[in-house]
Amino acid sequence: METKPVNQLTISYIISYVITAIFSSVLTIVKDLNAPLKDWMKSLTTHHWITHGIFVVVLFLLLALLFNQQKVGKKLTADQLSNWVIWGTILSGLILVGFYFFEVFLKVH
Amino acid sequence: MIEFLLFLHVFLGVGGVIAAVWSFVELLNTSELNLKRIKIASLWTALFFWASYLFGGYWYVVYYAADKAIINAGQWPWAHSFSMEVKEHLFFLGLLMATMLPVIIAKSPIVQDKKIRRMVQFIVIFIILVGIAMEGFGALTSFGVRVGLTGGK
Repeated sequence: METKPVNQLTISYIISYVITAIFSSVLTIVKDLNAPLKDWMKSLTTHHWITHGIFVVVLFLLLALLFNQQKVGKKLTADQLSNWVIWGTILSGLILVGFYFFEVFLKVH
Repeated sequence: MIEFLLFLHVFLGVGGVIAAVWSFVELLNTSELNLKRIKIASLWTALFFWASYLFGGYWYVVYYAADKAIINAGQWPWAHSFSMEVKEHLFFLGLLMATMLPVIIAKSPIVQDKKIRRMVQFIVIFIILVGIAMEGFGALTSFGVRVGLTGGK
């Protein structure tokens, strides 16, 4: 079966997803440890989680659009993009779960 | 009515997982014959995830504080500080993947190219895993409320 190139929009969405997913997990940690940041996020929409969601969705769409226009990662293969999805999801998930597990079950308060 | 909103959130989330599983099963035997069904299933996955997000998000922002107080006063405070906190942030990964899924399927030669099809399958697998995690963490959070109300352990 012939190997076809991956569509640029697909490449852009996947790269954008991985960057945004990691950003979201890091933002979660930073806002949890930084009360002024959390308060600022709350002030924008009445709840920090609403603001977080808006940041994430907007960043995701903007990056996808930008990467598509700039043809970022145009030579990435399907196998490489599979790895991006797998490791990006695992990494952002581990950052999140690891942080809260440490904060709740391991950290001495 | 308030609790019905929460029920809708869970119901729609389960719908999203079912639609994702449907997508995955169709992707296992991709051909021109089921390509249209794959596109429909992926679209339903995205719609269900967004609907669950909006209903759940509204309930969370407006009504969850009362449940949170009950959880924190009970024997399972981690049902909020770990379970709910992870759930409300991990969800975004599933939401983003579900959002891009129908676009990627529409733009990808999944019938002709095995590796591209596998790439899409990985996305769907992770959507399913995040959806199942949401159900699990949501259940733990709900049990935290139950423990808080009944004084159980």
